[in-house]
Amino acid sequence: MTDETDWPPLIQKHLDGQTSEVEAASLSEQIVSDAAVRSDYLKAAQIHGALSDETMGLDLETIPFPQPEATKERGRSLFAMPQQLAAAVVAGAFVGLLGIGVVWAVNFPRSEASFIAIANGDFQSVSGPVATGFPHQFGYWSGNPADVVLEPDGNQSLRFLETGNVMGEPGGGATNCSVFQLVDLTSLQHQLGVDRSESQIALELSAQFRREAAPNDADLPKLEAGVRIFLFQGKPEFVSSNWPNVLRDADALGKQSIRLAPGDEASTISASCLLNPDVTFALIAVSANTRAGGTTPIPLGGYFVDDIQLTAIKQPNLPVRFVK
Amino acid sequence: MPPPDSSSDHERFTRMLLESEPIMLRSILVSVPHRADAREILQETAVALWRQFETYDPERPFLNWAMGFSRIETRRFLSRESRRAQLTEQAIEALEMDLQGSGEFDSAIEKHLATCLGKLSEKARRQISGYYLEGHTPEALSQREGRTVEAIYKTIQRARRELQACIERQLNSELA
Repeated sequence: MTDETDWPPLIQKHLDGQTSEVEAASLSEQIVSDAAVRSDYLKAAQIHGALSDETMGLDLETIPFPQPEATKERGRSLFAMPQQLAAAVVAGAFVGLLGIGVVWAVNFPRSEASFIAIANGDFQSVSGPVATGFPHQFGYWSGNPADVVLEPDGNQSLRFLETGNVMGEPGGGATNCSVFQLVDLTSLQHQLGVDRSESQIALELSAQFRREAAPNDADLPKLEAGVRIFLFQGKPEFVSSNWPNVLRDADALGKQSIRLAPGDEASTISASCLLNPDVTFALIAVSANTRAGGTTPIPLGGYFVDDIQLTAIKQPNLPVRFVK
Repeated sequence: MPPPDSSSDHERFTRMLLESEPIMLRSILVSVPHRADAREILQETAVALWRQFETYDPERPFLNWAMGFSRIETRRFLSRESRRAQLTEQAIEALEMDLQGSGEFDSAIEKHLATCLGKLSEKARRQISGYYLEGHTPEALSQREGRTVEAIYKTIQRARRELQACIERQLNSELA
């Protein structure tokens, strides 16, 4: 522990009983000697205490969700989820039945949700550079230059480093930095069964983006971040070998993007599409896009993504469209 | 001195204890953040208060009298507790001194916590709800959410910091 120690994250760790003896001793010294740290600790502990106080009568299910900031939501996809359904997913989570696979949680009438496991979606289990090139197998991130970095508060997130052509084609376009993962859906489909006559299944991909200042921000006025989900039938090798021409063979797709200014608050966006019973796998992608033509890789550095989640939602009459 | 045994004493004690318990618990949580530990201290405090109830002067606020006992029980707990890393006695004393002058922020929490919870992301609310309202451990939430335990902790800790910042903003705008 030094003068450079970031005390608020350490205070938070202590409130959850995660500090070591050394950290607790160091925090104690700072609490005694520094009134600002003492005040910050007290406020944090008071919040913790209020949340722990059953007599506060907090009921998160009855608290309305904030309205989305229209200025930050750009290019909402035709396949985007209705707000009501997104709220239903959360309501379902409060019921406490969410889990990996198809343990469906009943939330709003006729709406059920379940998380689908994706590898390292929170970027906590692996750090350093991600693999380059298009992924060839399920269960790992791979794409253009990007790395998983440790933030001051101990969290890890993915940083987009440079645009490129993921297939390495000479003279190929290099307008964006995309990182992909192939997700096996056969187990999910098996559990869902073939009969979908009374319900539709949608897959929703969500991710939290934030942007910090980077040296070349002035050169990238249109830089934006986005999520994409593509559903395919067959084997993933076919997609790996034929990207991006294979896009026209996608069974369904959903996409969403956002443009943040450096220093803006982190924002979560999502895209969704219908799951046809014949679909066997999903390709998910997160990216930072310069929105400029060119074949020369461009350094980025300011965009980060975290908390990538894939959710299956069962609901009738969902207003989404198939690509074909 | 034997403990009081009349039913009216017991009823009066119970009523005052129930009124004071939430404030006492929140005060204990400042020194001992682990909720199960804090509730254990609160339980020991209640027993000590009942044993000494005959010495209570009804002219004085019950809460002030009871808080003295909770501080003693907190010290006893910390002297025997070794499961988790704890703050030092000097740090706890400094916090207890400042806590007495922190009523303004406490009032702001009472007033604005629900509003600020409404501004959290869906994921953060889900995990705060699971952790505090449903009483799940981060390990259980990790299973439920399909995320690592570390990620659950980080989401909860980030959410608390967002709540703190939100309540500070609300308080500052009131004072402006």
